[in-house]
Amino acid sequence: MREEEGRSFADFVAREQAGLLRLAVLLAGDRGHAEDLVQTALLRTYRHWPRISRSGPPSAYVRRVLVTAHTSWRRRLSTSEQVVEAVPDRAAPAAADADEELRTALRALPVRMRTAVVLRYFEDLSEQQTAELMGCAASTVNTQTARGLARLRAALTPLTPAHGEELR
Amino acid sequence: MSADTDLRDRLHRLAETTAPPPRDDLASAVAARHRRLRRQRAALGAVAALVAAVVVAVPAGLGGPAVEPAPAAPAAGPDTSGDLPAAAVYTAPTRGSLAGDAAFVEGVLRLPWTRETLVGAGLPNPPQALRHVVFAGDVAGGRWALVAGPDTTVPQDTDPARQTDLGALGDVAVAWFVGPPGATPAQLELSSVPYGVDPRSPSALADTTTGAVVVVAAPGDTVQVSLRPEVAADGTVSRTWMPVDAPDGVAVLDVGRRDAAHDQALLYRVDRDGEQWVSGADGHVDPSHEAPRPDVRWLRAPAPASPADVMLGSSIESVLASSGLPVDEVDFTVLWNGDVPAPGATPGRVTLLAATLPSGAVHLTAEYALAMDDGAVGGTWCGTGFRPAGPPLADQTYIVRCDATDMSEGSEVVSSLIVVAPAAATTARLVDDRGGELSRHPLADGVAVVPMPDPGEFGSVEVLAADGRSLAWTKVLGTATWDG
Repeated sequence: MREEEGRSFADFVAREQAGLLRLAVLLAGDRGHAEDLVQTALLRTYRHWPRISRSGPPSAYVRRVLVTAHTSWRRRLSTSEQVVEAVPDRAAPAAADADEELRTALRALPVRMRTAVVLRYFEDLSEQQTAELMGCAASTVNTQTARGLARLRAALTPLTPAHGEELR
Repeated sequence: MSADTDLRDRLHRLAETTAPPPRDDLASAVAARHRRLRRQRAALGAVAALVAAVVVAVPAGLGGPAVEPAPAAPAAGPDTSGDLPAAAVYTAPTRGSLAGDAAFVEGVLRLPWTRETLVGAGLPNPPQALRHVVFAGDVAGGRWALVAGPDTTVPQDTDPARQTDLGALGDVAVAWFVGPPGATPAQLELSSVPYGVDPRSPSALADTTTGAVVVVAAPGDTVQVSLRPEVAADGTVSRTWMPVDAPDGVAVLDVGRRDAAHDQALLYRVDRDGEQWVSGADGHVDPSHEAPRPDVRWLRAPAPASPADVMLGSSIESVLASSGLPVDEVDFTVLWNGDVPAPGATPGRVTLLAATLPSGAVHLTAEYALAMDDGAVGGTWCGTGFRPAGPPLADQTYIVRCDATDMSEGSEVVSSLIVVAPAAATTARLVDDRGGELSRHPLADGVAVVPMPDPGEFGSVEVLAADGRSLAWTKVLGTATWDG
């Protein structure tokens, strides 16, 4: 990579990294994974930086890499019919003032459902933009978002103080 | 403030309070990592070239196929003392009880990374000359080896942003080989599927039939294991971690036989210079493994038999694999099974399974299965959860949302709500978040399958006895993990 391209990559990272870390921590659920995720996305972006920086908005590109990298981390080949979507996260202490209820509810969502909700409601992307990042149809985004919202609503607004799905 | 705005605000606050702080050196760290990965690939090539040179030179020097006696020291690896002292997971000299057996190690290098039943397209298969034996040794009930090489994965999408398939995460691919006790290299077989790894991440393999577990990390790493999650009577999940011996970064363990084919209960934790990895081991499934067949109690008469019923065995296996418990320590009860509408002509089959654990807590699995035209059966989960020890299962109410598909990507979705209540319940009231009634449905034997109401309005379900007495308010079964 030429010196000029190296400088433009550094500028890009300085400009984007706070937003990428915030997106990553919502997708990954903990700081350790979020840092790895952002580094992985930036690493792949760095490999192809000369082409990426010339062909379109790098911020959209790196977000797409981040989303697909997150999805692939959660995917394991299995010889059975089941797809296990929940894999252990790296341990990390919770922030003292974090919204633990929301964090727990987000982590309980299957990965694609969580991704759809975060992209639609945190990144404020349209269904079509979200579909492009996730590599799926807009209708799938719609379905995943609706299901995710329903589950979040169930988890975040209990009718009674009891936890779990049993109300009484 | 609307619910959507509230969610947006909470997401932004959560992101701001939990995101790691930005680093001034991130761009240079990424560039350094890029250079390190390139050097690591080159190092693997150098090791392979050294091994290839030995393979060629030894027969020529001795005038025959015999090999030199096993050297006392492990095979030489690349010099990692400079660039990668703490991350030489796949480049350190061969480790394990057979590391000094040069003939064995060389034989392992030649093992094929494919087999007849494995479709090779897209799978990594580095040339023999570029492979490195990371581990070779005797384990409980067998003999295993781990081989690494450059990741030759063919991306299934030319756009690098979409390379989510095997090998996309790193420049190193690994393959585990397994064999019986005392096996020669030729008797080792490929276990599972070769795949790409992050060169800094550890790898592990477990066999529930023998109890063997091997964790391969970098020299100097510390390794801990947690054998299984512990589910308390109140339904909470926790884990206990135990440090294990890991000379040169490799832990060889015997954790005892398990009843499930896969061990999803065991987790390992590797610590290195403030970094930590927590993961489960890959599973080697012994062909002789027989699926456990526990006695299953049925709360209600089973629905007419369907080919999709085979997935009940899968649900039982999944509970045993995730809990790590022996089959005789778990009581399985089918709370209900029956059909739900699906996009095609064939209805889907839902089975609500309760597994009562030793503490008395209950794990619930709602499984959706579909018998397809080609004879295959697909399955997925509608929900999972834990309930505390308490009332008899027949006295509790369960609400399941099932999104039935035809198992194809982009399938139409038919959503149903399944109410499974005590037999005394005769009516289900679907209510919104404020308790307002959305609809009423009669129950037969405490059960109803009704169209899923608008998720934006739906809140919970109240079930009523014939005299109008309220029996329970219950929310939809969510998704729970055994992570602890």
